[in-house]
Parts: sequence; structure tokens; C-alpha cells
Amino acid sequence: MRSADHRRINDAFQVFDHDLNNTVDVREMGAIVRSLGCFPTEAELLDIIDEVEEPTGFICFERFLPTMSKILMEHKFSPIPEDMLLMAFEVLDQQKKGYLESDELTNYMRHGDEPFSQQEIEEMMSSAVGPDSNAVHYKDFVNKMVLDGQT
Amino acid sequence: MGCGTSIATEPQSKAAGTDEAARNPSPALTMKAAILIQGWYRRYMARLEMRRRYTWNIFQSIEYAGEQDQLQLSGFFSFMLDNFTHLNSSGPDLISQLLVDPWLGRDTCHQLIPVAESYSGPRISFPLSVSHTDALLTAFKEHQILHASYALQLLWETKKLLKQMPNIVHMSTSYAKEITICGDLHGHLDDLLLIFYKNGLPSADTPYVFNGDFVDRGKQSMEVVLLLFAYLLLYPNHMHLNRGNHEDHIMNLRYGFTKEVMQKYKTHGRELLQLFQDVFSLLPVATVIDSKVLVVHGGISDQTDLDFLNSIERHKVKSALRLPRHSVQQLDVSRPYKQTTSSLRSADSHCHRWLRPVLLIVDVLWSDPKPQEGCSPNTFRGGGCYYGPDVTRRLLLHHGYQLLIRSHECKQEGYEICHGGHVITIFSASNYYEEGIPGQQNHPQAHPNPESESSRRLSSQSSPGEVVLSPL
Repeated sequence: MRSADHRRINDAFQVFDHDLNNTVDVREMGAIVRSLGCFPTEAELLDIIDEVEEPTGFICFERFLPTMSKILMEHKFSPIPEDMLLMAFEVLDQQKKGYLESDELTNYMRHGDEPFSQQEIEEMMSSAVGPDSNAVHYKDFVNKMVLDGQT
Repeated sequence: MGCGTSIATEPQSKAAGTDEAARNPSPALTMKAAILIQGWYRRYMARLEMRRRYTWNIFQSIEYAGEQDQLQLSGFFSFMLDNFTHLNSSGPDLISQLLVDPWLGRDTCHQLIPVAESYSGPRISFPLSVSHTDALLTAFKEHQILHASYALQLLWETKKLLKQMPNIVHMSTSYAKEITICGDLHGHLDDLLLIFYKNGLPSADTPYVFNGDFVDRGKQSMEVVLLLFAYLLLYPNHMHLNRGNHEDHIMNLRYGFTKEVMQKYKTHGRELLQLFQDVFSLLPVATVIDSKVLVVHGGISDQTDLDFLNSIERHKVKSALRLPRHSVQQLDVSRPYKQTTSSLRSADSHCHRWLRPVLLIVDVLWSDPKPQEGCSPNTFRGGGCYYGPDVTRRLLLHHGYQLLIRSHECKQEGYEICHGGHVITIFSASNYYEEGIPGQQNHPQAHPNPESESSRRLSSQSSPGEVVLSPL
């Protein structure tokens, strides 16, 4: 039992408990989880919600606490360290050019069990592609995103 | 654990291996790398979204907290005016003149103010034609100001027209097939112009409903409202304006419209504001489309009786914040300044015949939907109610309506659907604290369609989006 974690979870929960009855609206879950330093994707968030949601559409603290504690203890959904991210890009950059063609990256992002939607690809390309078009200088891209993402 | 650790170990073996291996990573490794990047990017976007929402909630609290204070302050102010203005026997002062409810002296036609030859702005005459509205559009785009004389005439004609309209206006899609409904504009002329550009100017083929809150907050409330009234005069059957809670001279004192008018018109500002007071109170409070869709600015309450609402004299409710004078005397005067409309509701109000119409209108203009069932006083705003899905259902069922469209609350996406799809909130002003929250308009179409699906198109970040409802 880690009481410091419990306190943090309780505090985060309280912020959104508007009626002061130890329940929060399910729509606030994203904000609560993220305010505790965990960054699940939407799909992962929906899984969490599935576990804790009451039929009324609210979430009560008694069910939320154990689930959230487990997430914190396992360091699930922590942000990915920058150097690991860079390594991943380098793996994709098979010719070691230092950049990826936008087609290359787009193609990779369509891989996997949850490939990017067209909208996600467009969004990513709009911030990833350099001014000389068609090239993703991934080192700059990662730097930029990491800086932006810091609260 | 996730794919993070496998990536960490693989590069080590990569380094130990040959150049060959480094140049050609295994497909499995490539896949892992791609998935890692996908996951990271999605998390990053989720974090950005959360931050946007936090900023949004803070913005809303600040923005609307002011209105709550406003209602309470006005109650106090009203009490003071009613009980102390006649202590000084030298006659009514300017503030009383502005705020006390006289219909007197403004029923007769005002004297035309002469317009100098040197005036270079748009000139209009009545009855209005398309060339006049085009001239206004062009002039306002160039930040010109319509001469007070023309503005007064425009308001005067609008007042005459509105007097003939009922409290609840009925529209049908039998001719034009599509009606465009726009939410709060709040003096954002650019948004109005963009709406006209994207959808077309108002006409018999392009009917519009503007759902209140044309003024306050934005810097071009005057231009927005003059354009709306001009099109109303031009196409009275195809252009419909609902009253919002900001079409209220006391709200205008605080939220910028009064100041804007005085700054732009100086000596004639006061006359304009007095006419605005009348015109605002004459705006219809609701529009019904095809006897299926109810469009009001705020919402409803469990007391809302549309038939009764249609019968009251709406122009007598000049402001939600200033009750008719005789009313205050009838109330308990020991602590009247604490009586906001919220607390009045809980008082023995059905005894007071004068109060019910006021509360009905305040409810329609100020209420917000809530997810839980029931109806409770809207403590956030200080007036109107929070109405639950059951209240909505009951009212819609009673009248055979299918949908309630309302505005009044700024929504981050420009729109929000609640109460099981029976309530849609639309908001058309872009947010000036952030870079362009897309505003929304909404087109209910006449032809029925089996599946109920609403699709959303956002062309760019700062332009209003569109919600097209396929079936009703």
C-alpha cells in the first residue's frame, strides 16, 4: 500500500467531484488520469473506464482507487523517454539518411494493430514535415514535440 | 510490459552485430519501432487535448462567473433604484431614465437627423433592397460606421416589424429544404461574414435562424446587429432572430455593447440605446421549425408552457435583471436585494401574476441543460434553470416536437449533443482567448432519412464548422 499514491489519487478525484459525494462524471476520467501523470491513448482510457464505470454513468471513488493505484504502481502509460523515441525513428530510417521521406513515415504509421487514421496521418505530417517538404527530420520533430508537451 | 523494453534490448544486439544487421533491421523490430512511435504520438495528442480542455474550463468559469454576479448585483441595484430614486425631488436622473421601463415617448416617430454631404459611409433608405444590404456588408468589412440617422431609422423600422410578430415564430422547410441555424455571435463580425460566405447570404432560398446573443463581448456588436436587422427587414419571412440573454440593456451595460455604441455614436448613442432596449424586448423568444424542432436561446424549465409563453406581452420584459417597478413593492421588502430570479422562483410566486411571464422568459433565455434528471435553479448563472433529460422529453412529447436546438453555452467543438440526442447546443462565435474555436451552424433538412447520423466537417482551425443533420 502506498499512501502517498493514494493521497494523490484522492486529491485528483476531489477536483472533479462537484457534488462532493465521492463520484465523478465519466467524462472527467481522461483529465483525472492524465493529471496523475499517466498518458493512455483514447482506447486505453476507454478500457480503464470500462473497468470502473457504474451503470449510472458515474465513477465512484471506491472502484477507482484500486484500479488507479495499480496503474501508478506499474508505471503504465508513462511518457516514452526521448532517447527511446529517437532510437525507434533510427530503426525506421534504414538508409541512415537522418530523415524520413513523408511517404516512408506514412507507410510505417499504417502498420500494426491500430494503424493511424487518415486524419491522424494528416495531423502528424503537418507538424512533422519540414519546410523543404516531404522530409521528416525526426530529430527536430522529436525535440519539438517533447518541448511542446512539457507542461 | 509494453514494447518499450524490447526496443531497448534489441539495439544492443544491433550494436554488437555487423553493419549488415544495422542496415537491415528485422521486420519485427521495424514493426515495434512503428508501434512505439504511434503510441507516443497518440499520447502526445491526448495530453494536448487535456491541456486545451483545462484552459477551456478555466475560461468558461471566468467568463460566466461574471454573469452570476451580474444578476445578484442587479437585484440590489433595482432595489436601490426603486426605493431611493425619489428621495431627491428634483426629478428623475439619467440612470433612472435609462433603466426605468418607459414605453412612453418612443412610440412616435423620431425626428430625422440630417446627414452631412461629407459623410462617406453607406446610405440606406426604406424599404430596404439588396443593394442596401450589400452596401452595408462592404462598408462594415472596411470598418466604416453607419451614420446615426440611418441606424436609428433601421432600428425604428425593425421595431415596427417586430411588433407584428408573435412570441413564438413558426417556420417550415417546405420551400427552401435547408434552414441554417447559428448560435451566439457576440459581436464577432468576422464570424458572421464567414457564415454568409460559406452558406450564402440570407434569402428565400437560404433562410436563417440566429439564436440570440448577437451583441456584447466582441468589438463589432453594432455591425453584427445592424446587419442582422437589415436582413430581417429585407426578408422577414426567411430571416429569424431569437432573443438571447444578452439582448438586454442591463447586460449590455456590463458586457460591452453599451460602451461600444457610446464610443461609436457619442451624442446619438443614448437615443440608439433606448431604441435598442425596445427592439431587444420585441425580439421573439422562440422559433419552431416544421412543428418538429424548437429553437430557443437558453432552454426550458419544468414550468415552461409554450402556449402561455406565446400569449404574454414579451416587450414588457425589458430585462431579466430588472423586474417591473410595481413588482418589487409587492415582495418582502426586508431583504429584496438578495432576491435573484432564482430565489423568487422558490417564493410563493404563483400568487404574483406579473412574475410568471418574467420567469418564463428568463427560463427560456438563461437555462442550461444538465445530465441528471429533474429541474433545479441555475445557481451558476443566477437565473433560469438546469433542466434534465426528463424535462426535455416531457416538453417535446407534449408538443410533438423531436428536437431542441439552443445556444447560450460556448462549446469547444462549436456544438454539443445531449439528452439522448434531443438537445443540441450550437455556438457560432470563435473564441478570442484561444486561436479560433470553430463556431457552428446547423442545417436541419426536410427530407427524412432512415439513419440518424450527424457528420462534421472542419475546413480550417479558425473557420466555423458545419453540422449537417441528415434526418429529423
